[in-house]
Amino acid sequence: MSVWEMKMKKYKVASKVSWKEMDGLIIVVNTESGAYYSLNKTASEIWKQIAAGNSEQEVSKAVGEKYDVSEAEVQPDLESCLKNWLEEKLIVAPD
Amino acid sequence: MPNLMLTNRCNFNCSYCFGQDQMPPAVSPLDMTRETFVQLIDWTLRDSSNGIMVHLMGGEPTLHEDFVWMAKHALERKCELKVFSNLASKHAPEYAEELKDAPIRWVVNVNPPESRTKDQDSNLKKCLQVLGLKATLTFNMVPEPVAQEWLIDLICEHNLARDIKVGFVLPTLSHKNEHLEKKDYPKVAHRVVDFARRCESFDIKLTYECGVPWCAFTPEQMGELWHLNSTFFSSCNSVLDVTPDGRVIYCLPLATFRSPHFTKFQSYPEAKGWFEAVLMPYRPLGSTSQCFKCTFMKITESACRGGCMARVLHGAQNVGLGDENEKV
Repeated sequence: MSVWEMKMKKYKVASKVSWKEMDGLIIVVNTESGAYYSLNKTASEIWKQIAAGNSEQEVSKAVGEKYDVSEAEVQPDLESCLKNWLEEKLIVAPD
Repeated sequence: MPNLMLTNRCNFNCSYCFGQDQMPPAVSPLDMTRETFVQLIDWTLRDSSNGIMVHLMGGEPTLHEDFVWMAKHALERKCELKVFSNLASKHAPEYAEELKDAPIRWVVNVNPPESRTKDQDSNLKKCLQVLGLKATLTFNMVPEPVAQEWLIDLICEHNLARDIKVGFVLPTLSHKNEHLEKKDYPKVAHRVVDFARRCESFDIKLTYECGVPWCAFTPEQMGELWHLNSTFFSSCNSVLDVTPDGRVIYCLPLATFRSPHFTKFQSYPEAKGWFEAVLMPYRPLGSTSQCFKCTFMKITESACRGGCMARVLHGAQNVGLGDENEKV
C-alpha cells in the first residue's frame, strides 16, 4: 500500500461501540467488552473526525487547523490513537 | 412487579410529563383490554408465589372504564396493588369509595392547586378524604420555584400517609418535555432541603423518585437530609412498564428505546434481566462529564448510576435501539 493510499484510509467506529460528547470531551464504551474510556481533548477531536467518516489525511488536516499546528505535528498523536483504538477494538480498519 | 399502563390517556397535560412519548398526541389513545390484563397478571405471577406487587398506572388509570374490575381481578389473584393516579378524574371518587377497604396503596401525583379545575380539585379531595392513610402524595420539582406548603396542608387536612415522594422532572429520551438540566440541580436541591426542613416539623418524611445523581446535592445537604430522616438515595433500577398493547419498556422516559412484547419473555424477572443486560454497557457514559471519574459511580454502582438513563443515552451515538419485532 502506498503512502497516499494509507493516508486516504477511512477507519470506522466498531459496531458495538457507543460514544457521547460531554463538555467537549468524548466518552467511549465498548458495549461488548464493557470497557470504557474518557478521551483527552486532542483524542476527542480525532475521534469526532474518524466518526464523521474522514480519512486519516482529512483528520490530521482538521485537527491541525483546530489547534493551529501543522499536520506533521498532529501525526504522532493520530498514529498513537489509531493504534490504541484498533487494539482495543474501538475502531475497525477499512477492508 | 411490573407497572401496568392501563391506558395512555390522561386528564392532565403536564409540560414535564415524561410519559408523553407513549401518550396522545404522540401515539393514538389506547386502553388495555381485559384479556391483555388477565394475561399480564398470569405472566407476572409465573414462577412466583403469591404476594407479588403489581402497579396500576397510566396515563391516568381511573380513566379506564374497567379500572375497578382490573383492580379486583389482581387482588383476587393475590397480587399486592399500588395505584399511581392523580385521583382528579370524574370517576375517581366513586372508584376510591368502592376500593377504599381493599389492600391498595395509592400514590397520588399532584401539581399545585392552580393547575386543577374546580371539579378536578373537588374529585381529588373527595378521594383523599376516603383513602386517608392509604394515600401517599408525589410531587415533581420543576425548574421554576413553586410553593409547596399546600402539600403539607393536604396531608394534614386528609390525614394522609406522612411521606411525600419527590421527583426531579426527568427528560424523555428525546428531551422534548420540560425537564431539569444539570445547571438547575443546585437551586432545586436547595428547595428540596428547605422543604424537608419544613416537613420535618409536621413529622412528614421525603422520599425520592429515581434518576437524580448524588452530585445534585452537596455533602452538607446530604448530611442534613439524613439528619431530617429524609435520606436521599440515587437509583436507576426501574420497575418495568407494560404499555396498554403489551409492550415492555424499561421506564416511561425510555419508551422509545426498546419495547419488546411481553410474550417474548417467559416471566417478568426474565424481562427485567434482559433490560438490565441491554442497558448495562451504556451506563458508564454517565449523565455528566464528571461521572467517568466519580467515585460513587466507580466503586459501587448501587450508590449512583449516573442519574436518569434517558439523560445518559441522550446524545449517545451508535445506541442499539432495536425494533418492535426484535428477537429475545
